[in-house]
Amino acid sequence: MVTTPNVTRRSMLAGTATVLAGGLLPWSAADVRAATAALPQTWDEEFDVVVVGTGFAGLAAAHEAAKAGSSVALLEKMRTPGGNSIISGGVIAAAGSPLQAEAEIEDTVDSLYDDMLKAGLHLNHPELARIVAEKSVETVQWTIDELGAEYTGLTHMGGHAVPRSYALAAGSGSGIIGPQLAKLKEMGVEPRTRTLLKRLIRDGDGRVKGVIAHSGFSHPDLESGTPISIKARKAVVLATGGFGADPVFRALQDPRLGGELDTTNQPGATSEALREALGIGCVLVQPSWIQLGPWTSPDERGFGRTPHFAQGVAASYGLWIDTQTGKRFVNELADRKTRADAMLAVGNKTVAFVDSAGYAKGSAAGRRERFERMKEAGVLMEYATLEEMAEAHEIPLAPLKATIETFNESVDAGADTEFGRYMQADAGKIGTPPFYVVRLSPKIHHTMGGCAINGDAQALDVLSSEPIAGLYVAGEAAGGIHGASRLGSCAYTDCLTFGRIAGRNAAAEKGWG
Amino acid sequence: MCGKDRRRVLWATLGLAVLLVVSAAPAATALLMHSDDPGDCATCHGDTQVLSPGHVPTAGMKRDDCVACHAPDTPLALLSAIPLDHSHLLSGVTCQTCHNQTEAPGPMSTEQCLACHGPLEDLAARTADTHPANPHSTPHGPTFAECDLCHKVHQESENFCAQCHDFDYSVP
Repeated sequence: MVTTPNVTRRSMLAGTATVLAGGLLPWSAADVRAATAALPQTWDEEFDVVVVGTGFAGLAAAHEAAKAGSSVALLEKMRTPGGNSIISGGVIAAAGSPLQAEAEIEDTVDSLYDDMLKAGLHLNHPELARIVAEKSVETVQWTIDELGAEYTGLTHMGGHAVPRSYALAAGSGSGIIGPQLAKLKEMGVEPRTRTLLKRLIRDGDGRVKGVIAHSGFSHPDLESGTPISIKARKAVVLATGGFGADPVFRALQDPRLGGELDTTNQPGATSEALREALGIGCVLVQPSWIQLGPWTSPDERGFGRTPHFAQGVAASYGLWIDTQTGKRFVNELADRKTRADAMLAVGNKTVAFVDSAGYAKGSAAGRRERFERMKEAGVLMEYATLEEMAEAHEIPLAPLKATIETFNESVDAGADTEFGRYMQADAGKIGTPPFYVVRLSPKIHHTMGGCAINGDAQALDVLSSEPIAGLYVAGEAAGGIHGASRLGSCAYTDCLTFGRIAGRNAAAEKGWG
Repeated sequence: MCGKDRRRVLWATLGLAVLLVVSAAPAATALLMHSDDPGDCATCHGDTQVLSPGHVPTAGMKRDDCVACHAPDTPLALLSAIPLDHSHLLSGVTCQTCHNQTEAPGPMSTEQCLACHGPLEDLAARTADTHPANPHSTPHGPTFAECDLCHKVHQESENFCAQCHDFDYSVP
């Protein structure tokens, strides 16, 4: 039986702090003594690389590590693999892509990078954001060439200068996670579900050398399951996602966002792995930046189906309206933070609507069945006239008509004079009944903060800012890439890009024993 | 008492019965496996009353006999009312049919379930009209269609979708 290293670690941390306070600097990176633990006398299992988490980042890391010849243990605490990735919206950003060339849309890496930094309020760690932008096309192409992912075309996500997001034919992240799992199975790597990362084992020499996991874990009981020790000869890759479904940790970072607020995240998006990483000396960066998705509905739980309408249709071909004034209140294609902040600023009583012509344009890409389901559930409402829609949602009619008139003049002019919204090439005037509408209410979606990493996806040490040997972090578990707010469809690019980097580098490590 | 409440009561009763079976695993399993008459509740449950008062005697019955009264898609439907191991056994599917061997039987794979109940596409077609979404045709891909996420043969089944969605399924 392996003993857990809690006491040793905390006392060492305290001891180190005392040493520092005593002025014994400088010290070398090898002298990292924060949060170390005694190694198990024997390991239950042994692999080259231990990957924790089975979202985009974890699976990409496992893929590259296995491809490079490493043995891989792939741990997943929940009963199904895929994390938030598999239930996500199905769009991945790429700047200067083949699909853009086909559509004659000019785009550059710099443009994506600029958009990311603008949305991120320039808090993004520039090196990391640039890697995402530079590798975006390569990453999307990898999902096609290596995984066989299928896309239907481009879509325009908020905050992006131009349409640049590839839309998965599957309509969700399962269109990438599924092929990732299939490829891994071919390589002999399968997720071990219900296996919780309990402890990262960091040795006295500063290196992470393995993990304690609980097999047979039953979420959310962190004491459930049977402890096993797994040696990582080369490295551990932490791809454990964010903490969007963890009200307690959320409230620590932003006290306004605790409690029972609805989230688009799956129930396993909790903080225990991040807390463990901090316990062994990782640096927590930018945790207070917690993103609200602006395209969700109070009439269904979680992510639901509404984003496909509010973002995919109404933001490009319709309008978002403050029901109290009948006016637009934001550029419907602004970044998420801008829109969510604007929604809350006007009192969180907003709707997204589109007329039948816009509905037809936005529904082309296999969305019809979703929308039919939304109608059945009362989430998407249809009205024969503008008057009926206004009455049902208590929107003052005259201002609403004036708003539509102003927008239609913008369509004629080819530029949105009110909010500067990007005008789609096939944008049309609003007016053809019937009208389709959803109520909007923002929900917790993405946590920008996480472990500090460098461009090689190595975790940085809290005392030295130097890489922690044997530990890589990728995906939402890492912080700094997106600054204050992540642009839609950039998580896919980020998670897959840094997952692959982490996996390759982990496999290239010299084993410690 | 509404149908849902009645089901809950039934579940509570049957759940207890299953617990008793599970807690006495080897003997009970042997009984289940060797019972020539799965319709005879007393074989395993002894004197414990597991049927509603006044229920017709069930000894000698097979699943088809049960369904004669407990027709599908009616408030008396058998599915959801009794544990799946019972309905399997009543259909002639014994422990060995699924687990092959008698010692330390492990969990079933989805492939094993689909060997009799599949393919998944056919199941999806059968539940295509389920509202508000077809549980066997999830946009989240095949890993969310693993049978045992919802259907528990030896314990109460679970509405796995309800973790995130307001899908009010009654899961067999």
